[in-house]
Amino acid sequence: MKSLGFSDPSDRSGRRLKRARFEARSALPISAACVVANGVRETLSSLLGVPVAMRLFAPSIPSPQAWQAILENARLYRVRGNVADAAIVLRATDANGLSAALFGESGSVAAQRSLSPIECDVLDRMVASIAANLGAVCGPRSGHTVERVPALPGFVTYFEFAVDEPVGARIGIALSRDPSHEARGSLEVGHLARITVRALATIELGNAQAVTIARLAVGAMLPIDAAALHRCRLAAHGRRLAHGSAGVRSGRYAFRVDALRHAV
Amino acid sequence: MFLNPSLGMALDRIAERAADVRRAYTPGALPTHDDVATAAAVSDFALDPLAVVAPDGTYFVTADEQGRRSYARDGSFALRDGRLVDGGGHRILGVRAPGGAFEELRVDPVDEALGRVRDAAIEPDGTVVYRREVVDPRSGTTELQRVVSGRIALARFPAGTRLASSDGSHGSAPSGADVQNGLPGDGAFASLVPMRRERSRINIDESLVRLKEAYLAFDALAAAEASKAHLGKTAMDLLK
Repeated sequence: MKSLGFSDPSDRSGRRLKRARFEARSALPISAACVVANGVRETLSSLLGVPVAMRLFAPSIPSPQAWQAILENARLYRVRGNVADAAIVLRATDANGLSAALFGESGSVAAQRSLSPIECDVLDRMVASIAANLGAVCGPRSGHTVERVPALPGFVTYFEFAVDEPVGARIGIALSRDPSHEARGSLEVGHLARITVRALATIELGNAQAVTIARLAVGAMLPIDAAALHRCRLAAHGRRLAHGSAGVRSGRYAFRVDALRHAV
Repeated sequence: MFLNPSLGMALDRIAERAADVRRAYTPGALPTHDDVATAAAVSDFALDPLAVVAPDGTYFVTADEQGRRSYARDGSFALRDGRLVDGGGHRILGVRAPGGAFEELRVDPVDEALGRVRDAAIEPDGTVVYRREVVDPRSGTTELQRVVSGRIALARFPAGTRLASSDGSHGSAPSGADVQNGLPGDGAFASLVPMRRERSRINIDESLVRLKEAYLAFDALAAAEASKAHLGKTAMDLLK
């Protein structure tokens, strides 16, 4: 889904110019992301043994360049669901911070080093626990396996949780498909009752003698073949609406619709 | 007419004076010659939260693409590809955590990539902040979260130290110079002045007068050289 947005002001002359542009917007309801966030918060609270404060970044459709920034040096875990596949994205610093919190260490101390095999295993188990909360966005899971993957080709939607307490870290969730936009009720005919449009009915006369055309003058009569009355078109504001026949019905000139727009 | 050393020096003086004139409207630029410097730094209000003025006698610490460190007075900063840069595209250095080493200041790369960075600004203590929209998952309410990217660093040199500069905006410290580094408002350094843009320290009127004098000096030297050559030729003709 596209929506109108405005770029960041880049003009350095003092004017605050913003360019209008259409931006891709995720159709994933924020309430669904909130359900996942609350579940993840409770899971983390039980794993860490302390209350967890968490915020949510709204779902978005990242550009290819944004995906590069998101996935750079990140640990990726894929979860297969019936509606879509989901992936948990942990950047290196966030993985270190969460791992340190699991072991009761200071996140700032652990931020600059690589994880040990034991820490990796504990982190993988934590991710598996978090993955149990993804049902609201990827549907029921076909299994309980969470596989570590090197890349996320074809993923579309992305949102994040920002863990504020007890450790500063972010947990990203990527989805392989964005929910399709819900169909809304169409405009009813009653809504158009007071609107008038300029309609035009034209008859295609076919071939005519050039001499006849050249001799046209005020008062001249141009005979119309009866078959031509069946080659009539109806248009409004330059848009063809129907194909039909012109004639007289109940003492009034009339246009009979033989085919509507899609067949014209 | 042949170019002798004195004429060459006169041409160099013209080039230096012309460079001073060209930099007169470059924010924070320093003159090559002190005789065209303004008496004091002057700054103007700017509707730009990333424009700041450094305390008098201090410099911002910058780095180019190769990481070479330089010092500048220009505080007209901007966020480019998530990095805080000055008007010349040099990266602004600072500390991301208290007591940390100097490194380039930048917003979170994912926030930048997803367009979450809003209302970026620099505070008087050099703190680079921006806001991003977050949702409280319990209530579903949206709020703006303040994010700190780091603090801008400042440098000061002993009085009389002259920075070597090729463009008048970015200078490198002379070898052996005693550089004092710190942060705005930390006690050793005064605070920054936000939303102001410093003018150059070059007096445009004075620099134009000096440029004209340099041209006149060159013309006088050229005329003297021509007379000298003419006199020599006449003497040689008499001897013949």
